[in-house]
Amino acid sequence: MSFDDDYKRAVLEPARAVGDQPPEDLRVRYALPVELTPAGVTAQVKEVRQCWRRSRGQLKYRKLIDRLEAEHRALAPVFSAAETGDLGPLNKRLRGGAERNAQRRAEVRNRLLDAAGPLRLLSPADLDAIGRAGGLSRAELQQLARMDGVDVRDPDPLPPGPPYPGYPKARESLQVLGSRHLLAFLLGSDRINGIRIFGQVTAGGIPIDGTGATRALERVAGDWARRPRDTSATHAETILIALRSAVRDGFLQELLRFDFVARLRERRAQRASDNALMDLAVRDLGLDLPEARRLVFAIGHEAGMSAGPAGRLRELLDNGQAHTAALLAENITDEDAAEPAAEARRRVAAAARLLDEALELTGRNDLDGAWLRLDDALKLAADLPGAHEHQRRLPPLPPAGVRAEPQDGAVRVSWTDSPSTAGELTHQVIRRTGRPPHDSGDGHHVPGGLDPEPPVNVPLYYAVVARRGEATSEPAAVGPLLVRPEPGQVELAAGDGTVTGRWSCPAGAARVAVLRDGGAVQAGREGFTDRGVRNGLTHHYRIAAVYLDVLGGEVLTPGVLVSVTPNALPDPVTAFSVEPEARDRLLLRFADPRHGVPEALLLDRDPPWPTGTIVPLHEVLAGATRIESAPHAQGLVIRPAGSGVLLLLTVAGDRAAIGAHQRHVDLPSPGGLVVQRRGGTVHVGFGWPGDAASVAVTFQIGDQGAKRISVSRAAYTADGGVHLQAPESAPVKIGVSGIAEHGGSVLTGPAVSATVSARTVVRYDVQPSGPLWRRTLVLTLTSDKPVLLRRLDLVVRDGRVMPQRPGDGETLVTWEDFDLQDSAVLKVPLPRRSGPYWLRCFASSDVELSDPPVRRLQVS
Amino acid sequence: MRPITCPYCFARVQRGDIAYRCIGRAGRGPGCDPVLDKQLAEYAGTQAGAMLPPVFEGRGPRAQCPICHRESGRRVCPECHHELAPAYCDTPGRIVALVGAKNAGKSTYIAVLLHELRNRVGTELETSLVACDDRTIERYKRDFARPLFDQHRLLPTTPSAVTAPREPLVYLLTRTLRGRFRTRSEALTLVLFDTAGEDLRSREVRDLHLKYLEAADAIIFLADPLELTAGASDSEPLDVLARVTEPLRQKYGLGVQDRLKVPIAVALTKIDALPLPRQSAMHRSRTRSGSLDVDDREAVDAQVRALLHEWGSGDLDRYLEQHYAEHALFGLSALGGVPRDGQVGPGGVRPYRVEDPLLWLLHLFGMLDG
Repeated sequence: MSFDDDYKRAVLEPARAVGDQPPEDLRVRYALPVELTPAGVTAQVKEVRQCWRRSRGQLKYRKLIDRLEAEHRALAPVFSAAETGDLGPLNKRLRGGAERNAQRRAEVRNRLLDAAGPLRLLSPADLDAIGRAGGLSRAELQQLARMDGVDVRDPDPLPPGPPYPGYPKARESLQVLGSRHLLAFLLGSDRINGIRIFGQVTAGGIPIDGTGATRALERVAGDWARRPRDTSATHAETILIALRSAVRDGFLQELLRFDFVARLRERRAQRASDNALMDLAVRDLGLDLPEARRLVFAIGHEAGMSAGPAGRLRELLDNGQAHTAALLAENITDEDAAEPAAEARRRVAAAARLLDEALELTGRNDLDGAWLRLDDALKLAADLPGAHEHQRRLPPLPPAGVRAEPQDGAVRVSWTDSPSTAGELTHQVIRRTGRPPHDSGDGHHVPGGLDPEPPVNVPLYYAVVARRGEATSEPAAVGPLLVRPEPGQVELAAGDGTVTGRWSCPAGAARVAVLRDGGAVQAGREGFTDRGVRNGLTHHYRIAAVYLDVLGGEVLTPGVLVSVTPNALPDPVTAFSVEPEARDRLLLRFADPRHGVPEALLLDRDPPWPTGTIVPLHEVLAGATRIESAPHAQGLVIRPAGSGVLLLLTVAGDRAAIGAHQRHVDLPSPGGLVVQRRGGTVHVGFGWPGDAASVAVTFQIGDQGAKRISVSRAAYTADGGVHLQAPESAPVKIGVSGIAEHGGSVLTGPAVSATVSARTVVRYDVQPSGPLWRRTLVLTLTSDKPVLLRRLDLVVRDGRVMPQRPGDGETLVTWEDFDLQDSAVLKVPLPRRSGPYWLRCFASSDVELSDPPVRRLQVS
Repeated sequence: MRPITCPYCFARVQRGDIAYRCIGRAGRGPGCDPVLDKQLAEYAGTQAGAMLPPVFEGRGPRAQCPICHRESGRRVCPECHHELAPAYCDTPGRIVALVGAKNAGKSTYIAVLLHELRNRVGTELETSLVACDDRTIERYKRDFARPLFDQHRLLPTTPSAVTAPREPLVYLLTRTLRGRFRTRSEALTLVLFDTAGEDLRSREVRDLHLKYLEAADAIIFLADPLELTAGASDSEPLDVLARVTEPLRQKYGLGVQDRLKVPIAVALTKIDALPLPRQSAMHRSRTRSGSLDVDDREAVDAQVRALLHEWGSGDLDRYLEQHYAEHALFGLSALGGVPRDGQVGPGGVRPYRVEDPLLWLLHLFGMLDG
């Protein structure tokens, strides 16, 4: 055997077998010897390339040789180095060959898993294609598939169309009744699972044979027969007819199987994934898991229409062109086309019967019945001659209860829809003047039933027609109707002894009539001025449009009713003063205006109108806040809720006279002023006044001049109030007011004040004195100024508890009307008592006694 | 060195046993990852906020983490793993416990006392008051300062610790004492643990409360004077005081003649609502001299004692005399006025003599001249 033969057998043929994939191992590709020498490698490569050139003459090797040559160009540097004696690159390349093989194997494995998808199923053809593309042999691929749990099998053949022509109707009825599928309907339960459809159809392991199916069918039919007749029963009957035909003609298995296939095909056509189809098959349809895999796999491998006449017939049938298919089938003798040809003939025959029925019903004027028959016929054979044309000419029944009502110059038409139920119905409104419309084209089309601009003061007729396809019903008409709009944009304004009005006169009206309290008022076409009114009285006006009828007589519309009260113009308040009235209230003092009611407003900024301007009230109120107020003999007492500009208005009717204004900072007087004398300190507390930044505390101690301190809110909180140092012997007058800065000036709010009266403090001390056998108690009294003590008691109490008042112990001595000049020393015998006791002095209420340290008072 | 007491779990810890928490990883740098700190989660009663770098043993102001070898100065209690403020570890000071009957005004007293220590009293005494942990800062602002001082709302009744676990507010009150030869700083740890007397009846919270009271160097006991005459069974101050005292006596195994050494300041709250005798010392402000006015102190003590006896509550005074070696009576008003409709009176919070108990304790601890 020559080198070429050996090389072809060992290298080229295996490479061809795996899709013209050159071997990765260079030792194999170039038939290199085990021991590599530069000269040996060069000679061997030369020999192999000559073999390639010779083999390329054979067509079967051409593609492979071209790839080998292309890859050799990339390997040229490796062999050039070997030729010069450097085998390093070649050895390195040889070592990498195994890695590349492993990589390629991994790539093929990924492709295989991708192709198998979640079903883990692969057809032999797909397996071969992957092998060719990846350069692996079939044996290797099958080994990989086994490793990954991928089954290799041919897809099961599936029925191309339904074995029963009325399957689509039966399917519709199943959907209406909410039944999962035909088998579920037959077995009377939607809960069946584990259904197998390939070979014998079984449910939960029980085969659905002819006998069983007949029994099941009788039971289901009996169940439905016991129910009242309604639309559900009609749908059930449709399904039962299909099942009975299938049992009778022996294609029940095929029909049940096709029902599953059709449902999955529909979902596949909607681009559902394999997982979604599996979910549908197992969870929704109750198929056995392996069966579901096979079914989804087979549906996934359906490659469109079969070729040839059979395929063409199937295509026509699927497009609904059964009549064309039947005609085509007459000239086809192909065996494969027998089944679609028979189906085409069946569908045409059924459609023709339905057409005949439709014609008969048309003759009996049952147009809806005829329309439904034709609809069924067109579903079977959309190209059935004459069916479509006849259906288009079947008009629906006319609508009823048509009404037309004027609405603000427009006309709204309402009606009850046509009683026809067959087909898609629309309704159309037509308007015509003078007489009712004869048909849908006789008049002006009114979209949506609302005629926005109907002709004025002419008799109008409206008609409604029902439309189905190209056919329209008889018109249902209403009329005549006269549209006479009222005057628009009516505005009446009351002035001082005057009322003026304006409006827009509707087109078509002869004039506008104005009636005040029933009597006519002279008016123009666009307005009037009425000076015959009295201030303070409310007048009721009717503004009506006047139209001329066909005889030239005047006809008044009901008119627009408006009531107005003329008033004298309000007098502005040109000046006012602000005084605090209570803690959070202010008195606005001003002279009462002659006309109008004063009202206070709070604005963010100065008013844009000068004082005295008369403006509509709503215009002033738009940018202002009304202030809660109460009338006062001198003006108004108000309670402003914040800071801003106080504006005084005078209001009369809907007009207001702009009065004076003043800036106002919400500085109410501080509330809850508490002043407490705590020895030499006066504690001051108060509620923080409104928006005050700080508070001014003014205090006057005795005859000294008044002092003023400013207290911020933070300081007040930190110190827990204000603490003033003041001797007890002097009265303290305290005033507190809020302070705020506004527009660069310091504003001071109303003050609250309180006075702490002076106290006459008399300090005393007690001390035992004298020899032990004649102990005395020395009582020392001191005062800052001479004072008359109306009563002074020295009290003793036994025990550990200090007396609090004279009655708590025994009064040792009482002095009455004691005139104390600066200081005095009094002596009394020390009481002879055992155990601890307390001594304490008490004075009448006009004097404040200051105790010495308690250890002086406590005798142990 | 004397051991310190953890102000959170009140465990007594030798200084050398204080643990450290690793500072953890910063960004992508080296450091330990957070792990669930079971001790801290158990103390807090929740795992929220307990995912932290690990705790390890060490010595000195800083120690090296044995896992990531980063140095850490974050010291924690070895028992509950709560972080301890460095200042507290260095000068652990003394713990003052706050006890009172329900509705005695403890929460309001806490809020106002801390406010005064930060403001008027702090200025007078030259003290600084620092919260020892973030929770204390957050809780004081949220639960005390904001409602009372900003919104002028009365604080709601604190729920029983049985239903709502409580954490103490821990503050370090530091005072610089200028002596003739040297200046030194003294610290007082204010552990304000809202302990309602009735909570001591609950087994679940009694242990923690007892640990708290045992750890205390002093007790401030608040009593509502209105309850003294009402005689309500649960809230009568003497019953609450007995409930606090008896477990402590049992704990220390005291005999009938022995008295507890821990000083107790018994303060009558809400004195602004009381009709006091004209000649009462409580009508006069304390002289703000930066020291304890002993004359004033004794006068107030005698005055309150007299009031107790007048109201028929002399047994409270006698009980204190029998069971406490150091005790004193006080009268104070946290709000300074009668609140209305859940709001502070119109003059805002105007505290009166709220600092008196603390000044007495500072004097006892040698931190304040008298």
